[in-house]
Amino acid sequence: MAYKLDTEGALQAAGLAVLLGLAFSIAYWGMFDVAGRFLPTWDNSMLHAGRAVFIMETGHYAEMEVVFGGVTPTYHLPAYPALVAGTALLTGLDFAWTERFLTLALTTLLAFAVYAIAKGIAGDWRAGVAAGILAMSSANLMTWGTRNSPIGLGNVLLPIALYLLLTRRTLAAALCALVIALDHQPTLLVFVLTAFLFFVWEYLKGLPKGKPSAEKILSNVLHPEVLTATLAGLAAFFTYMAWHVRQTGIACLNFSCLPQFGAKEFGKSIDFVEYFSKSPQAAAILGVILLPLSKAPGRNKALAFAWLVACVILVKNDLLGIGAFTERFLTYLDCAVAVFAGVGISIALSWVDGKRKHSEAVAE
Amino acid sequence: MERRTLVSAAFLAACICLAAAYAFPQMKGSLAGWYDPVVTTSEVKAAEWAYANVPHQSHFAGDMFACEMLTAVAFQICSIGGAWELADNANQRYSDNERAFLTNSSVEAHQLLAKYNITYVFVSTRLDSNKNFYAYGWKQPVIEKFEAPALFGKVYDVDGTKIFLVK
Repeated sequence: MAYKLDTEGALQAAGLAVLLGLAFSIAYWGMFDVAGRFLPTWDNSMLHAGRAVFIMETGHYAEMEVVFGGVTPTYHLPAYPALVAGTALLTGLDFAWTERFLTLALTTLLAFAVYAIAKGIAGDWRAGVAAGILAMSSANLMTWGTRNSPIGLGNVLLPIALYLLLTRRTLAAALCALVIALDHQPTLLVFVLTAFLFFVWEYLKGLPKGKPSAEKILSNVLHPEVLTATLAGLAAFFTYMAWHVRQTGIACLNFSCLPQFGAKEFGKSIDFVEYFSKSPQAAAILGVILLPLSKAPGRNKALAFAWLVACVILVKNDLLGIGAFTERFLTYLDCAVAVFAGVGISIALSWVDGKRKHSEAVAE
Repeated sequence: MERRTLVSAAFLAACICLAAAYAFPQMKGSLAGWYDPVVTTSEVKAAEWAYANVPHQSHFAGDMFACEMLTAVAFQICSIGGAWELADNANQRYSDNERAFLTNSSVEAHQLLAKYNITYVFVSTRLDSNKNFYAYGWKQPVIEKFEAPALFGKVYDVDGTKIFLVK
């Protein structure tokens, strides 16, 4: 079938090109050019490189920590070092050039992933472009979320996994969830909590009308409308628990043996008034107000708000008496907030457009 | 031309302006600082030498960033690191490691390193840069104490970076 590129299609392609060009430029001149003249040694990147080198040298995952004397079983997850080692094997690059290449690739992919989920929620490519540009302007997301470490991969996979949930690509969503579970714990928390909130919405919406019965309540978990979120969430949960039990045994099922829970890494309480008063987060308020009023399908709205609420809960976990890693979760909140901002901008633009002939939003 | 097309074109123009005038310069400036080196070129050269000349997976002692670099470039195990997940007695290891590098006493340093079965000491003056490196709480290590042949044997000394065998 021949594809005719109309004016709208050309503008969409140009928008995507602007976004990907911006992401690549930031990654190239902001990171690659600096790290290209030296080892990409910032922060803990060499620790994760060390784990990748272990795979490259031995063909096996480093079962013990490579620092602190190498005497304790590692609690780091294998996906990112395996990605580095696999890419080095396929390309013939050494570990340092592989890390630099992955910085470029993952940052560009992050922009595309944000574009995909925002476009999927709003049904408008302009939401994707705006969200992508705002995500690329978000300080927490860019400084923490694009590092050459597991969080860099996790921040790319999260919006992709949510897009797969939105479009009901069950097998792909479950596989993506599995990789997240083997990559990075904070990313996993954001995904599982989002998927759970989304599942609850879909489950309640899919319940048969009439008098509730045990059969209706249980069978609805595997209803086609709910199945994607159910399986993706379970894939992530069971994969991670299998890893956790493998590394710590069955005596640590409540995670109390982990230093993060014993001696918490305290994060300061985040002031949302201050957070949302800054650019580009302030633009998200537009999406929070306009998305519920828009003609986007209900499940699109539900997924977007499930993501936002999950991030807010994790950032404000001090209110739940936990108070750990609060600032780390701003990385994920930045991404959700950028998507809301993009969606809000696109809804506002659609009003200026006048009456729309059709909606490209993913069908409910 | 449809109104939507005009709106989309104007939106695209605004995106280009935003990307060029704000997003790119803002993020490029923010990220570049974070990606500055945290170890010196002479330390990387020393690590490359260690990869070729020291048995892999030997136990090294260094500061946090040198340690992490050694795990990747030299394929060695190191005394401390930046990730404390399930580390064995991480706080005590950090404290002892720092003390071993900051003390003036060769004997005390040797005892602390022996406590953790350290085989090699990796240390640098980090004077080949005008930057301040973190090292041991922003303090320079006392390198002279490692020049004690009864306790330590120097195996590498180039451009301010030294590697000592712990006897």
